[in-house]
Amino acid sequence: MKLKFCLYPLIVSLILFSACASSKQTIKLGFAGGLSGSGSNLGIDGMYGALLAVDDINSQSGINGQEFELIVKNDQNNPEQALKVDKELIAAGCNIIIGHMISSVALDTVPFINEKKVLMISPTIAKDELSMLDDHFIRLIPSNLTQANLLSETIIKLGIANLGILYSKNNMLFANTFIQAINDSVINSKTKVVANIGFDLNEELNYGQLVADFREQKVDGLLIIASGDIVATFAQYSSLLSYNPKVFLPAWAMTNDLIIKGGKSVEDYYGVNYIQLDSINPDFLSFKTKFRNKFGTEPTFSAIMAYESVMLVAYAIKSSRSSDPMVIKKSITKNNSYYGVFGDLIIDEYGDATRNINLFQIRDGKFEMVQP
Amino acid sequence: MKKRTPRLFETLFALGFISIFVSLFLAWLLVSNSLTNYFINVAVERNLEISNSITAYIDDKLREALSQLNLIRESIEFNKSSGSEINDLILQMNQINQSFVGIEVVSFEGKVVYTLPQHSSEIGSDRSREAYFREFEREMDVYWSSVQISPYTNSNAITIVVHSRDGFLVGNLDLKEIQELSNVYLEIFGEHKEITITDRNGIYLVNKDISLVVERRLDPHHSMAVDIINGDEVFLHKESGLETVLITSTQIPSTGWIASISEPYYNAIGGINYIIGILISFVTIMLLVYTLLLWRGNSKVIQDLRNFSKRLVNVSQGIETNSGKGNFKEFESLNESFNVMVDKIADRDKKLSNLAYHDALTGFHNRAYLEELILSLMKSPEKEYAVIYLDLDNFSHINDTYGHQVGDQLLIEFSKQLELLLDESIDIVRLGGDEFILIIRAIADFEKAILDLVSKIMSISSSPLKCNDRLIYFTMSTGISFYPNDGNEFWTILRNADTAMYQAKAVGKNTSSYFTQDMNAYIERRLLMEQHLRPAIKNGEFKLEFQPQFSIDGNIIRGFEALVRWDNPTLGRVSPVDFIAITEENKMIIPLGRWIMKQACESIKILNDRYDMQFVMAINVSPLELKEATFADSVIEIINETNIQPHWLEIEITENMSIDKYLSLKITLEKLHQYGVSISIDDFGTGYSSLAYLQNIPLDILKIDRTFITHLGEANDQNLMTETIFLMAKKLGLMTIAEGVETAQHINFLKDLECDFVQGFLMSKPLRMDNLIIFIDEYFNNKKLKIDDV
Repeated sequence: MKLKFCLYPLIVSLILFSACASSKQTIKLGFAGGLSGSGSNLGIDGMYGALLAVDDINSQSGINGQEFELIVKNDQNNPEQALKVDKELIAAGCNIIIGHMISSVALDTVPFINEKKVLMISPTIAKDELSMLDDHFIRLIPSNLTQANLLSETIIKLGIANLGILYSKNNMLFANTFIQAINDSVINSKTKVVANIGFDLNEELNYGQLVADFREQKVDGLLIIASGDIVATFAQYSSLLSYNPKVFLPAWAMTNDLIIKGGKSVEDYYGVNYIQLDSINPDFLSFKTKFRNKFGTEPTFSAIMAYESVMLVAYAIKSSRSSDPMVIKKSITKNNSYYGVFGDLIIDEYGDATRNINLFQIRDGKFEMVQP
Repeated sequence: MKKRTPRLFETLFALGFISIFVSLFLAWLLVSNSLTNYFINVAVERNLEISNSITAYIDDKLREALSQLNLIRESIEFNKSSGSEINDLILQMNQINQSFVGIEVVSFEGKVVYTLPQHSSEIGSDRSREAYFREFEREMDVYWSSVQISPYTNSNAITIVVHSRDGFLVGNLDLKEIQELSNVYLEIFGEHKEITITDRNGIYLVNKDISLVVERRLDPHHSMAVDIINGDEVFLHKESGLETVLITSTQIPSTGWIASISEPYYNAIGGINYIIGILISFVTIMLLVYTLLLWRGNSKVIQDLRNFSKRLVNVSQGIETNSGKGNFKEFESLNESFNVMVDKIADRDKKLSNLAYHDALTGFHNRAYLEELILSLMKSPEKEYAVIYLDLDNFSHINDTYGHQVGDQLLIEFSKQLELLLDESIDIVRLGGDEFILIIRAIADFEKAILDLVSKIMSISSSPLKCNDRLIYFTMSTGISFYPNDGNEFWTILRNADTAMYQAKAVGKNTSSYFTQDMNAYIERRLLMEQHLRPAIKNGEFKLEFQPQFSIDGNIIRGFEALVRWDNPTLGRVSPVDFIAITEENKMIIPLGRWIMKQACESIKILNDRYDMQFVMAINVSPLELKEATFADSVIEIINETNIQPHWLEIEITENMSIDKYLSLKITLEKLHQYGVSISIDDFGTGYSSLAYLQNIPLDILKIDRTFITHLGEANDQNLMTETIFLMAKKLGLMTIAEGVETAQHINFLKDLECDFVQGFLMSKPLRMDNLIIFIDEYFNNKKLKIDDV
């Protein structure tokens, strides 16, 4: 009789427990990017892209019956913070991290995620030091050299005599790759690198002084390695001071902020990008509409790359029927060809993407694809 | 496995608890939904108030900022001042209200025309790609931007733009301002509620987690908030990875922003926890009270059951119990029914006990009860008691004389008298017949009390008792023995009392005797006699002696009275007084009487044949023999066997034999008398024969008892009685024989009384057959017995 009295609550507990246990487990996906301060548009747009991807996946009842859960962390574009948030994401149960967004923060985190056997897919990092390695790092865009080479080609073709370089010290790895590549490229041409000025976002920028410096060096072509808003601000000052060299920008700066904040000052600026923001590709238009409706802004390349990163993970999980990061990695690197927002995306055995890169010029407030 | 029989208490307790829990559970099911809805509604109303308040507050502040912009715009338009003056004007206006971190006047061409002095470097900057340029093409009055990085502060900001005559007046409002505006609400309500303001896209503008604002995160509940605003509904939102929350949202009219209050569901219905707490307390108290009441109630039920069970056990063991009052009416009814049953059983038992332990005739306890009594006495061996053994003297004679009906009536009447003397310290048992024992427990001055009691008992016989309209005289003998003085156990005490009683009888009856150890010798002898009597006939230990009876003048030998003698090798000669009584008790008198009858008949045959005479042989017959239905036939058979004349035989019966009441005895006597046998009454005068009695039986001779003869010649009243007896016999035509004639003086008196025959030591003692022949021979040789010479 006493046994019976004990059994009833036990049975009820078991039923309740089973009910709870039967609730679906989610696939936790981490997102890490710089979400605050100057230059945060890259990270925030990436976050929005990833969020949209997760929404799209979950609205389709998830992958293999499991929904995605995006856990977002702000690495403040700081290497130390990046390592910290990666640890937090892993602790929170994320075996896959979408991020980081700039190269300078990734170098220290990659060994860590390798050690932890966590898969990191970066939408925007294209650091060459991370190429050709059998690590746990997958990147969605080609190496920086691709960008640098196209810009060098353009600079040379446009007959720039005195090339100035303005770069952000806050993303030195990326900047160095560019500077090195440009220097290497122009060495046998008429173009000379006459000015090479770095700035720190944590310090007040004297744009007038910068303009004066470049003007003094008779710089007629300027490569700015910085985020779009920084470029826009510089453009405004430059324009006000009637200093209008030809400006060349990496994909990093090719954001909406550049046009909005730069206004007419950024007209005719050249830049490279992996995407064509005025594309009439139906898939892209659909994506753009969804993005605009959800976030009220136009998607930038980082948003698109982040979106594709999440979709890539979903595709790999679906095809491998596993959420194990190493299985996913193998699945990604094995299949190597994916259908992204802008068509096929090729990822090699080292997890490095191959994409077409194009030259754009801002005309009437839009990125217009031009030939170098 | 053997199934355990559940205990009533546990079952009642468990059922009580289950019923309470089930009731409470059902009650909770009924009210919990209503309670939840109530608390949700309360929470919604409260949150809606907060939300409306925030909305109104923020809207006011934003409108104030907008008003400030409009004021600046109007001032510029009104004053038409120079550039530096307008810059100063903007500065002054902004100092009044420092909501904006940056204010610009942008021309329709997109150039910054005026701005705050500290941002003067921005003058000339191009804003033509800003969103408000596109929006104002739709003829908007005011533009509210989405969140963006402020060019002035590098932090999140929104831009408010109004249309002016010459361009646009652009105000840059840092989100910190909005956050600060909301701080008062966050401080008051932020602990339990999440207060959020988002832009139209759900991007955080205000949240206590400032990082969500800084990082321009998207409110995960945004779509719910939009639905709430559109549908004016309250949402309980739960999705994977998010806790269930109660969302209340309102829209800020000026900007379209959304103010949401989200409260964890369990916080919203937290009041239920309070109620649950109260309920649990209430239920706990109720259960405690219930437990106590149940415990008490059940205990009473169990107590009643136990009491009832105990009563059953007690009743089964014969222990008196109370009437068994119960705690509940049902148990009282049960007890009452049980009491009725017990009473009936007790009544039945009493009847059975009466039947088993009481004597039907006297109502006294019987022998069976004695066993119980002994057990009772043995329980307290330290207590003294006395046993009185009581036996009516010659009760068998009363039975014989008046019949058993009178004898029984005498016992009843005697018992009534005896009962008057009893008290609670005395138990009385009728052992059987006329034997009673009284067991008296020690009281104060015990020996005197016993003496008084015995005296009172003995005094019962001082007056005759009326039995069936007849006054019956009787006497009794009592023997008294004390425990522990006279023995260690009851049976010894009883036997000793019996011994004392026999001693009383032995000394003449009608007396009492206290046991003394020397009485045992008598008893032992009596036991020995009983033991030796049985083979005595077979062993030829009995002999007959014959005492001659003579005519009063001594000239004629009438005959002889046969007297039995017992010579035992162990006991020696035993008096007939002793052993006849025993043979009567053990019925040996029947074969012994037959042996005597035959021996006597053979002897008279020898004598009459020898002397050619008609001697008469008188033989004493016990009443027990006479009651034998075959007695007459048996006598006739012996007469025939021994070939004697019937008139040679004379049957002596005792005076007290109640022949008139026993028709069969009368018939027996008449049969014998008609056959020729003479009938005489022995020991006449000592009993209670009536004249009718003498007339009703075929009587030939009266044998006057020796007590009358012994005292003849003495001056007393008895001589008158003796004379009357002889006169009466004469009148009745009866022959008379005087017994115990021992002196010549007796002869003389008897002659005067005209006695017919005499018998006694004066003439001859009883003689054995051989001596008798010698005596007769001598008598005849002398021709006659000269009585005068004796």
